[in-house]
Amino acid sequence: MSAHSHAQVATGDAVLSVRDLAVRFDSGRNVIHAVNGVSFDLEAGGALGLVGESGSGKSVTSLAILRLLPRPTARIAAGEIWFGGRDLIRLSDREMRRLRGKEISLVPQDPMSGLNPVLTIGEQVAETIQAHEDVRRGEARRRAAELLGAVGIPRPGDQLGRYPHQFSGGMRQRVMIAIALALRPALLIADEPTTALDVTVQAQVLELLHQLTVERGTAILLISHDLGIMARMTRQITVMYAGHVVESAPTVEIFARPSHPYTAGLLRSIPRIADVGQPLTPIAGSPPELDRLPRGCPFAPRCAWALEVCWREMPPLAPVEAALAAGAPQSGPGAHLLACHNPVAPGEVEAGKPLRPGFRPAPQPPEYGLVTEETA
Amino acid sequence: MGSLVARRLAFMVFVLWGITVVTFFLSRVVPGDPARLLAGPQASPREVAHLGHLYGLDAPLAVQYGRYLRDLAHGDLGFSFVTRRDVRTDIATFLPATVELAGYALLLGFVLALVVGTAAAYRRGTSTDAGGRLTAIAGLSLPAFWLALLLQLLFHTELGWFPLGGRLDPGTAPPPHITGLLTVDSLLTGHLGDFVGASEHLVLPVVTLAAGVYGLMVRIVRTSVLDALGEEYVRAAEAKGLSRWRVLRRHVLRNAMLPAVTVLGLEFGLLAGGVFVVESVFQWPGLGNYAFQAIQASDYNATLGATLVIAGMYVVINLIVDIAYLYLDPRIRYA
Amino acid sequence: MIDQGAVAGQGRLTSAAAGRLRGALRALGPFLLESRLNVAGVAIVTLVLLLAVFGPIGAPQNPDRINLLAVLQSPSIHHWFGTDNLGRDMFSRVLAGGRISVEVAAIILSLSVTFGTAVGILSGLVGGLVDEVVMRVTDLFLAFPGFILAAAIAATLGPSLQHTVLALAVVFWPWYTRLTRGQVLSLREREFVLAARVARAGTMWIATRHLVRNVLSIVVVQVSLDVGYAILATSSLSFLGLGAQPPSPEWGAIITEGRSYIQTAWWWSTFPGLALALTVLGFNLLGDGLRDWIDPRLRGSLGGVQE
Repeated sequence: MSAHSHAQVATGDAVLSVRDLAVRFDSGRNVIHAVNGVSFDLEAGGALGLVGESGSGKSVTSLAILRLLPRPTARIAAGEIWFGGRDLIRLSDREMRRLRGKEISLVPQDPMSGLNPVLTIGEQVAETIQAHEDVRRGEARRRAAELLGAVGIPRPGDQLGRYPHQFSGGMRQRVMIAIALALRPALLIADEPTTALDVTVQAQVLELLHQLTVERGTAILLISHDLGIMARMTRQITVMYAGHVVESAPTVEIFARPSHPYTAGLLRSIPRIADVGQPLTPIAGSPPELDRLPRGCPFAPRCAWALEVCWREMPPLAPVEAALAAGAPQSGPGAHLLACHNPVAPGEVEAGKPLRPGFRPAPQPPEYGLVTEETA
Repeated sequence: MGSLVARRLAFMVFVLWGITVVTFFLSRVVPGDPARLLAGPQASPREVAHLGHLYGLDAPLAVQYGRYLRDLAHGDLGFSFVTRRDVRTDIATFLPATVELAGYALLLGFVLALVVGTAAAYRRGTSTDAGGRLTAIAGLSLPAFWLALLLQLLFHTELGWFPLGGRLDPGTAPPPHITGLLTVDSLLTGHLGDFVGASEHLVLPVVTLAAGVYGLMVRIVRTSVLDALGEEYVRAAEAKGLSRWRVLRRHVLRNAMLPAVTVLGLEFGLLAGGVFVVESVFQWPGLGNYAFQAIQASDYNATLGATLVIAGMYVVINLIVDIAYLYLDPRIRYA
Repeated sequence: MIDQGAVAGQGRLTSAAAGRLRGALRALGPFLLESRLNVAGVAIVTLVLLLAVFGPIGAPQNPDRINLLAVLQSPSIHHWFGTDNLGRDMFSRVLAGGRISVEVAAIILSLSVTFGTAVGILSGLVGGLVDEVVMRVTDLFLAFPGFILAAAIAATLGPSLQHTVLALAVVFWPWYTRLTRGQVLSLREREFVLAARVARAGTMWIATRHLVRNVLSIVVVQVSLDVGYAILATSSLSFLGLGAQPPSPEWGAIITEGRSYIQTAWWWSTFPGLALALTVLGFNLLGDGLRDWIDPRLRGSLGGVQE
């Protein structure tokens, strides 16, 4: 069996290209701007991480890619999603269905509820195969057993007839990975794959995911609030806040030279073994309500680097000077993009605030207004 | 799982016993002298006393109950002085008619509830949903007896589409008795004319009864489908590229049906009550009508027997439903 | 010597009650806005209650007045709902029947709710053997198909409206016992233990205050749903001849009277049936709306996609 994926893509080309994606939720009472102008590229066989808190829009982005947003409340308001040479937003339901599970697959968030409790795991793995290929039950079962073995489930043939509740969380997650990789997709979206698992199991599952995707040349879009797991798994990281991309860079760069105050905050808040006994350092404040987004940078209220302009104007996503000087490209893989009026300088990450003498973050202006909502 | 079943069974036995106590108690706690009522207003005191002794009505209550239980154990439900037959025979004669009526009503109501409830859940918040809610409440609110009369007025008197009552046209001989269910028997023996006739007569009473079944079930279907739709595995199934129909069938409905099954027992209770009234209006020769006429005639053995059988069936069916639920949910079956 | 504390306490109590009433009325607006069906429910129930209270006073004629000159007349200006075989005005009879239905439902539910709730709360609080026994008895009653039980009781005691009311009260009470006991059990785990640790003296008071508040909302919803069933069951039993007896203008009794005349005088059975259907519909809409209204408050609405 070929170790390459189905998509006709040469390595190095972007297998997924998101451009200015905007998603709105309209509940009749208010409009929620869940995703606002998000763009990123994922190369074939690559690994990109989407990082952010709850409400940052990362999960919504992944659902938008799969076109699985809840209708009619949610709507892709703008943007393009390029996959396999086609804009997914323009595809019909039928065409999209043919892609799901086969070219693009999902490892859903919660292993507890991601599997149907009344069907055996064998049935659930087999139905993926049978949905896209014309195989007989026996053949599908055989392949299912093979897949379960590949994800490290012992005696897979025996386990086919058992039910999800008879497995531990880690095992269930492995089953869902098996389902996602069954048809060798070009792109795998893993939404918080380890959040609901024990720490000891987390590492195993991540390792498995890494190994399998590399083996099969599957590109992986990893979504999490946990910056820590990104280090091992991804080569690029895109940081999201309130539906916007605030920073996007190679993983190494993000950890070595985080330039956005939010990214810096995320890094600081990761507890390290050496810090045992120290108080935790979360980012003060909470993310904004997505139905009342202000005019300027959404992070301003919580930002220790805030300038007066930050409250007025949303900073554009642009390449970082220092990175360009070091030879990084302007866009695509390897580029370091930032949306900030007052980036974090080296050394300020540890301090958690700017080190320029006498610097005070600009206070909230009195006329801090809300963007007028267009009526849905 | 085994112990759960055992507990249910034990409870059922307890309830069945309780039913015998309650029904017996009711039949003996009658204002007035049961013996006199049996004998009739014309009887002389001696006849009354004789009848009382004959029926053992002069013995202490506990003894009477004991005899009653003993007879029950032998399947003896007493003698109906109205029909001049064993109550047991009467019940065997009239039960199939009720089973046929209630069975079709349950089927119709359930299928309709499934369709409308699922549609309402998928189109939550739209006029389809509100319409479903309205029909559900209408089904529960419309008095069965009034609906029956109305349907008779409209579809028989005005339009002449369906007959007024009974199971077959007067003068028609029923098909050979196999199950007692006319539609089934006529099909099994190839009497297609009888099948058509029996079906015609079933339409109005079944629709009347089904309204109540539908009313209760449709909201539950809607809620359980909504619950299932909110679960992560539905999204996961969609992400596999399964067609919407498959997702509905295999993932949504399979799970949504579990809570709906538990209501089936309650449905039967509703049907038991509705059957009384509907059989009366449509002159349906079933158990409900039999019981009702027995009550009117103060035929205590018949009343007691019929009540016992209906209540007993209700309990047994509830047990079956409970056990079926234990079996259907793999989380319980393979705990 | 007037106990200032007692007076002040009473004042506080009534102002608390008034506050709750105001709160309930304020919630009426959004409740009505939630769905048109809620509006319909409230409207119908209000209408029915008004007619029940004031209707018979303002009725055009005495519902029992026999007028052999106006027998079996179809609906007209003089007799909006026509007349029956004794020339009685059907409209007045239907109005009178409305009052009966409301009264009857009120009595049935007062009896069953009071008894059932008391037993349920006690059983839940006391626990142990008492609880077990109570639950077995309740389950036994619930194991009977309700209508059959009521019919059997009514038949045994002798057909009359009073006996029907009693029979239905017997059928309804176990539901409230089970309901309130369940609430008490789930609350007991939380509040009771906490309160017991906080202040010994205040345990009972706190517990009952919390309990009553939670139980109340659940009971209210159940009652609003049950009113419709109570009216329906009463009429059904009257229809079968086990409840109200002629010449009572109870709806079920009227309908069964008019049954033999249905071909020639369709209005006789149709209008009371219509009134009955609308009344039950209104109460059910109200109860249904209340249940939907209160439930999401407890669970949390719009389980939409977060993040």
